[in-house]
Amino acid sequence: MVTPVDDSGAKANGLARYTADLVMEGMAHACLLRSPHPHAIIRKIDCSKAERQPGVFAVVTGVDLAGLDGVYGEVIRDQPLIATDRVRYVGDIVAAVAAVDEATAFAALQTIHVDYELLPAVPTVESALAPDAIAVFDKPVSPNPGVYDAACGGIREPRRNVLFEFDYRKDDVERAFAASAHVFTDDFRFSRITHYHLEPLVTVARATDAVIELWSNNQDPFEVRENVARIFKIPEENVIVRTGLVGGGFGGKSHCKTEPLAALVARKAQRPVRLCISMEEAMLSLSQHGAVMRLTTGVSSDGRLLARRCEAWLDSGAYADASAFVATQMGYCFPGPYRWEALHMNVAAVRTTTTPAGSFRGFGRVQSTWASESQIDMIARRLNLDPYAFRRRNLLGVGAEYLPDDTPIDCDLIAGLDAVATAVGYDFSARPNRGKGLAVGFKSAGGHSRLAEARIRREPDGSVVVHTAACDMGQGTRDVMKRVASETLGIPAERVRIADSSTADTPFDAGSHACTGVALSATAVQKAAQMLKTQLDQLPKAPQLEGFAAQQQKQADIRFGSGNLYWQPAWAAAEVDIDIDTGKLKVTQLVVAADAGHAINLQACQGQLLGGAIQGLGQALFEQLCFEEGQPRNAQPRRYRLPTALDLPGLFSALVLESKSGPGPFGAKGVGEATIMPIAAAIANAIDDAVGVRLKTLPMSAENLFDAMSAQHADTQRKPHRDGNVMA
Amino acid sequence: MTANLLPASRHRIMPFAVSRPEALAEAAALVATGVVPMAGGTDLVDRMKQGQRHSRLLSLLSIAELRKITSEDGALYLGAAVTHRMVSQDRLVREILPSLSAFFAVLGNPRIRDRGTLGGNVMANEPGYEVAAALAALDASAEFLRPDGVHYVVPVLHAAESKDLLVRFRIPDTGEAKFYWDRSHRDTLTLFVGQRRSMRVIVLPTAGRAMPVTSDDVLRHQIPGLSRYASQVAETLLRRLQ
Repeated sequence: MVTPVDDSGAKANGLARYTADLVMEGMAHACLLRSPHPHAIIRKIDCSKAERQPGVFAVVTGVDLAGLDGVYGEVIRDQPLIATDRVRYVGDIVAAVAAVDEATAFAALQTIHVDYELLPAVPTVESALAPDAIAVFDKPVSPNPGVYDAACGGIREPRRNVLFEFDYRKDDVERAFAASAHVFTDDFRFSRITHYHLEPLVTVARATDAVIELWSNNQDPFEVRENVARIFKIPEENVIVRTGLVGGGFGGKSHCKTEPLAALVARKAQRPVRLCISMEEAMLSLSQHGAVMRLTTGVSSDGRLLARRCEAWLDSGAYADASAFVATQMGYCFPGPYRWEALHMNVAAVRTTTTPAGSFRGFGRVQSTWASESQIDMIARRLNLDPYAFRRRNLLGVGAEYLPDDTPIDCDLIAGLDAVATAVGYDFSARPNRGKGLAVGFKSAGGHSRLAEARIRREPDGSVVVHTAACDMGQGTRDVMKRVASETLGIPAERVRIADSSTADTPFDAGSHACTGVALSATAVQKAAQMLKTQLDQLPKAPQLEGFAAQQQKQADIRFGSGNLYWQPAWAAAEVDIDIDTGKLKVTQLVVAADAGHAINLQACQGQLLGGAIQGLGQALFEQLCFEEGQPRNAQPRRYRLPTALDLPGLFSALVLESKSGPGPFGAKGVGEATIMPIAAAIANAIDDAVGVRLKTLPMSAENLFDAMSAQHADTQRKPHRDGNVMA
Repeated sequence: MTANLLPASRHRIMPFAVSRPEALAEAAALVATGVVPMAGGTDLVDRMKQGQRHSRLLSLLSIAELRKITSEDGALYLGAAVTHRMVSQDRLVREILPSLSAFFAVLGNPRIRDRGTLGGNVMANEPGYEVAAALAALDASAEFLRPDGVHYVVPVLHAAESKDLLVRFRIPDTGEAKFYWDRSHRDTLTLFVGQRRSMRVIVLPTAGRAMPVTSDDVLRHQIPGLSRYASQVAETLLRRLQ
């Protein structure tokens, strides 16, 4: 039976309360002044006029960081809360004003005079790696640059403008290439898109010298607490982070962001401060990673994949944010779910003077899947093999090890591929200019060893309250937890309430990351409910009882520390219809599948699968954050092309597979990050199938396809057929 | 360099006063004193979020004359404050120019169609805005009212240059007119064609301005300012329409 996600009614009619709705007595509003330059030295900031404006409570600049540990970032703490001496991207925060309302703060910002000395921009990965490149940071920021770090699986700041490098080898690829019948090298480029979460990033801060209280929609309340305590040099228990419903994130609200700055402004203003950044500012603050990638793949004469070298240079923007983790996870999954004898993966996170890149749905594996699954198809076609059969032949079986000592493959990769191929009628012969393509996205889940705890309390009236700091960003975590608690305790779901969280009394959660909401946090809820049930059985008349449990992801046991919790593959099959006069492409069919393990809420799983696929479709065909010499060109909602209902494929469906093998309740896995991965490659492969043209750069716009078709005009009549014959 | 980057937000709009006249003449007089006319507000408010300051606004929504759709002597008149939805649902428009009615039914999105007006779309003159291009294909003109009571008319593609109060649009000779549009390549351009004895072709590049062109130029790829690829698209779409 189909039942809507529990809180969907309140969200649809506007009753749901978000952090952005919070109003506090005497609350001031903060606005931020941002750098218009991609790279410059700040010579002087004149705030005197702003400070004198009526209604202004505080003006904050880099000077106010004195005495604080005012930087943040994952693995490499290089991003100041507010710029001190230099700006490194268009949007870098230069000043903050707190005033009686936003309009006053905004007006005061316009009176601030910043004297910049311009530096050359470092706009691209290529310019950052050039021998004569300008350094985005004059010297390494890490205390121990160039040293391998087991916790994050790579080397911090190995060389100029490379903030992190992941490197992994299995056996000797060179020897394997020498023994291969064919070795293919291909280059790919991946665009970058913006998160476009509808609810802005918002913090309300109340701060004294001793205590800092935050109301935040950051998805990592405990990580924010840790950062704020470190930055302000106060004990963690003196920092309280409260979190409610979150209005979308896609990665944009993970890890520390502007929360400490809100606290800094509140301290100076001596009153509560609300810092709510606009959609435009969000587009300037964080993006997905663009990438340049090179794959070299060795194949035997009978079509077995043997060895692969996977290289990538991620455009990480100006500051580290989560780039080190993204590079590790991307490198880890880069070769794809095939049986490899030898591998070499190398991913460099490169600094440029553009928007910092960080967590984004798929976390590096959207990039790797685009390159990997494109090249798998290209190799099959070059060898006159059916790409479908080629994949089936080489995919890892259930229980197989992807890398030595790794989590065994926990679902049937071939069955997933068969499911989507069958759904689009893959074996039917194509009509002219119509083609079909397949792709398998491959990622680990759980990120870097996480812990989730939950407490569940039975009230005197028989209802229960679940306390968890796992964040519901619209993916339906709260709904899942209600269902799990209800099922475990044998009470109706309406009698289960999920409390908003506070780091002061909610049990610890490492944050809603890497599809762990169901797999770890809901498991902690299930265990806590089981404990409560045991007590209830023993003390049925007790007025109030509590259960508590923790769910710890197993510690990393492979060299670079992935500690994979479960596998999260995704399969896509696309059919395209190409207007050969213009290159305009219609996706006539798109079917995606992912393994939910056990679908606790089938409709919510389908929603995640379709949503991920649409995000992938936009990036495949048109969506892109554009920069020219480091200046963002379309970082405004009005100018940024997003997929709309008009862009949906003719036939569009999601298959929720259930392997029952997940670590979550009833064998559940997470599904949110899966289906964004294989879309672009499936479409590129369908284009090749239709017109024999291969696109290796995103987006695959009509113009790019038209140009590629024109360039290959002489060959368009010679379309390789699926069975290996070349049609004359 | 001292330029600063100040992103937009609705919370940054400064207080402003609004007048709501019911008479056209009163509105025209207010416009002449620098009061900014606002119909649906979808563009004006957006510009205010970007930091544009307006202390006095004038709402056009209570002026009945600006909300009328009429026909007279073979011409169709569309009031400046008529919304896109009103055009798409109007029986007269559906009878006279069914394809124009269909065009307005899919312009923008439901919220834009509900709030946005023809006059607002034309006078905002934002790149990629379609109303002026569509009306220009039908040879429409825009009628303005000066504060001294004088009405004057300009071709719709020049309407945005005028500073007076926009009253209505006039589409002439609707009896034999046909209207076509092709939005299938909207990431490159949209093509608008009005057909009477002769054909009027308007090319609207994505994020560009409406370009009146001749069909011969389109078919020969001779449209200055259009990229090689956009010319290819324009030619293909026009050829298919014929």
